[in-house]
Amino acid sequence: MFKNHFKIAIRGFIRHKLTFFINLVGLGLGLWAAILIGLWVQHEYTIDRDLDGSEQVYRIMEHQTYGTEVFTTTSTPGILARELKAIYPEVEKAANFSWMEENLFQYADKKIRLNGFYAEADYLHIQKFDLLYGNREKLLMDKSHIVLTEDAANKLFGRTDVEGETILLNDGMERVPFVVQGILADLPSTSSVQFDYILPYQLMFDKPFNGWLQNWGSNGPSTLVRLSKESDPGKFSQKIENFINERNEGSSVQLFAFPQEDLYLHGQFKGGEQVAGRFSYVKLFALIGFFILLIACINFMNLSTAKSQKRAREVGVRKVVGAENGALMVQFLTESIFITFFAALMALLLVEISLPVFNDLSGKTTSVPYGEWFFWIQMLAIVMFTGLLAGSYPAFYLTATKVVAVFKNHSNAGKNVVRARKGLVLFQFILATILIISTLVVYQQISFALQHNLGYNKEQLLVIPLEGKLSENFEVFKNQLERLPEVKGASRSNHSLLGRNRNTGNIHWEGKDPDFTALFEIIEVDYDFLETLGMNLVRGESFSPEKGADSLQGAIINQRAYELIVQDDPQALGFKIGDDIREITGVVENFHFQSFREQIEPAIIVLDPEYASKGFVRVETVDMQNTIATIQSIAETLNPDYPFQYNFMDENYAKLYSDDVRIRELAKYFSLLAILISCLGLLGLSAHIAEQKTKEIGIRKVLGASTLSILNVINREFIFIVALSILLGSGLAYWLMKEWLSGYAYRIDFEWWIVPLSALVIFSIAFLTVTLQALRATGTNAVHALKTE
Amino acid sequence: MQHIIKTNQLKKRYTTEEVETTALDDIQIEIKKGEFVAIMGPSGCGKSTLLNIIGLLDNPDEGEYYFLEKEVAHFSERQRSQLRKGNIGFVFQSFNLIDELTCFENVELPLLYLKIPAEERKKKVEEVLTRMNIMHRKNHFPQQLSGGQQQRVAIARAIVAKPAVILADEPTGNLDSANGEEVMRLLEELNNEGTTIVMVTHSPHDANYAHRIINLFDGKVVTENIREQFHI
Repeated sequence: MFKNHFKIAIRGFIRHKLTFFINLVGLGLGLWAAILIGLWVQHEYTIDRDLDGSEQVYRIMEHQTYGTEVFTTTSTPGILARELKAIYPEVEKAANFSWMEENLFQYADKKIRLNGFYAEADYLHIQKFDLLYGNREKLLMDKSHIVLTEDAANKLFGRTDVEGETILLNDGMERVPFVVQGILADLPSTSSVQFDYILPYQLMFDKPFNGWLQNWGSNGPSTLVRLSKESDPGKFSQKIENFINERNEGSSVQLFAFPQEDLYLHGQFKGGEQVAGRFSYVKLFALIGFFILLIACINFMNLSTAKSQKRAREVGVRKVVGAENGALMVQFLTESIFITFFAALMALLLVEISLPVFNDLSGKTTSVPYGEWFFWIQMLAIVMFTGLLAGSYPAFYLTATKVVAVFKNHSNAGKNVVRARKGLVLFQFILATILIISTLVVYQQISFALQHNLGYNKEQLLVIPLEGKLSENFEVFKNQLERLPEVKGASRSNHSLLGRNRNTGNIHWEGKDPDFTALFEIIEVDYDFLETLGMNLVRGESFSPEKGADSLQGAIINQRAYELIVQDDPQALGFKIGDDIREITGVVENFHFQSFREQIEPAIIVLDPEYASKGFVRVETVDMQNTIATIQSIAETLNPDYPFQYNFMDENYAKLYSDDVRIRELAKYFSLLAILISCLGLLGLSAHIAEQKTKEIGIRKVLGASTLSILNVINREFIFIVALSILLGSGLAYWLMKEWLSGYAYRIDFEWWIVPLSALVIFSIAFLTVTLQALRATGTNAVHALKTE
Repeated sequence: MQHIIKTNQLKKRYTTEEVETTALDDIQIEIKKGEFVAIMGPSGCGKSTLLNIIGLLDNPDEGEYYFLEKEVAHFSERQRSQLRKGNIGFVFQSFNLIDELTCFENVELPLLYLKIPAEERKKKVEEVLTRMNIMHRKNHFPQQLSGGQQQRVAIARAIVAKPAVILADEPTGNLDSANGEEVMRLLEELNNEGTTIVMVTHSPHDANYAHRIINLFDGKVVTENIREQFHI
């Protein structure tokens, strides 16, 4: 019987080439999108879940309360891990580890910048990355040892068997030797942390200026623990809730253990509550993938039911010779699964071709796991699901065909079926409308964020890391730069202005409500910082060497901070940071130091360049390449040990929106795909309607109808549906986008013109598609048309 | 002789939005095993409706219908389908062959639904195709055959499962006289071998092959003539 179904299907495909082509291409494109999105979603889901024992790993996090605001962070005191391990038996392993930083390493003549961090020995027992060389038990114990990744070893040595080799770390002052004690295999792409090296935590801990790491009131490193299998993480969180408060009087910190596996997708908090965060993107894309597949399935359903009159006779004959409904249903479902199978092959080919571009767009390094049986099971499941979904309606519809009606040549396309078909087209175009409007809104919001005035000028502003002698000799560097006519200013700071860096709630002023707390960002800068960045002072003066001690004890605050202080103290003369008394010497216009998702928070700019790690250089040039080359030669003369490095502030800022830009780009392509598939369906349906109306068109032509009026016969079937779908889709898109925009503190208004623009795009494409078919129909010879009966 | 088909006060109505039409009104007929019966009457008199009910493709609205002495008037679609399988063969005016299947595959279809093993199927199909003198065209598709050849394939399909009765709806309607004659001879031959045949026809010439003619008018049986009473 299956052979018979197979034969019928193949011969049917050959006979009805256009329908087969539309179904194959439609389903193929739908599956292509679904597989790509599936790979992306799967990759997101496996982040931090691949390592052995990952389900027992927890990150210790803090809810910090400032007045009514709760701020959640993974930064913890630098001694938390060892204390937790010493006190709680359920903590099998615990490690503090530092933030990521870039350092210059040298082997022989080769100098390379590598990214890495400091970690306690337990780190590699918790995060069980594969070890190529070395003894895990001994790693990160000795301050003169280093662990490299396979990739870093290859970069430095050109090989990986380098256990026992010595490399030099250039820490600005001197070259410190480290013995390579372990080589980690290339990190899995599913690890949220990607690094080149790990240095022993004790090395950082023992540095004289890092005494604060032992302070319960100071946060910096992260804390990772592995809890025993029997332990209850919830109970453990309860036990450690006041762990810091008990050791640091006056602090209001709630400590809790959060599963490391969930941190990447679910680790975002607002006001102490977990928010959707990155997981919302996963959901969004899974939904888009499903919708695109659904649109493709709807095409199949619509075309199959539209062509059902041709199939009805076959169904009738089969019923007459003894087929039961169940057998017929199996036949039609087999057929749809069969075509889905071909579509899946086409989709896999497209995936293979497009994967590099997709990876580039999505920022992933996914690949199709052809060698894994689980992948093929998933493929089988998706083919079965799509085939059954696409074939379900035609199967039910066709098998419900009454034999008597078929042989009487009565159409089975009752009102309900036609209505259902129109409903499906409506649904398709609603989805296409939502996708296109959403894409336009996302485009606008990101352009708004990227082009809006940030409170400083981010264009033609170079950011140069101050490493080695460039940090020591910054004044010399600055003087030399300022002699260049293209350089309009230079300064330095510890702050990147790309996110929170150092902040405190320990700020006091005259008349301040003792219960009120707010987190103030502290930005340490050098002279000329405001001028170099192009910030606007609204009152007072900037820091200057002429003012000497006044500048050192003064502070420039942003308008937000000024509003907070002036409401209690109308004079707003000064405040205290802890015990440090500061005079307000200037107020600067609010400026963004986080993405547009966040409100501008109060900020204090103080003159303290000692730990400045970034130089800011304002240039004005039409020949940027030459200007940079000149700056490079100055920097390398002053700092020969370090290869020159720089970034543009506007590019750094744009990276804050890299996720959104990815979403925008992916949404753009998937929207186009959705419209393409919808129009393919429309093409098939209009071809079918043109075919159905051949006789009507012939009679109209004989009676003298114009081409335009004949076009209207076919177009009118769709104009209303497409118009209605635009109306409904716009409403839904408006609601969805309002939700999405609410995640931004600074956002665009939903512009009215987006709806007519989207409508115009969809309408034009749909109209063109249908008209093409209609024109073919009007070209038919009337005599031939009338003979079709 | 055993009744293969018997109806009692059979009624069938069709209702559209505005009008109700009585297609069959108190039909009472009996057809015995081995009979060749022709149903005649003008267009719209209910011939095809009656054939559909007899063929278990449709249910009557009222009355009783005994097929193989079993009351089937209120059978579900599934029950009718089960009973149809292997018991009734159909021959249509427009042949109703499946375009995507070859002659062989079209004839094989009823045997597939009867779950007959492949070897046996092949044997039976070849046997019947040979008998219909169409074996040489077994791998051709219906569009590649003449009308007469297509009808021979359709008859082959109708008889391949050796049904108790063959229902033929205007079997020569789409054929020229020579092919029509050949088809009628085939039906006569099958009847002579014991197959019951019920045929709807407009053609008095074709009806002449039957033992008995049932004349319908406005949904009612108006006359029944046995062969000896034919005045053609």
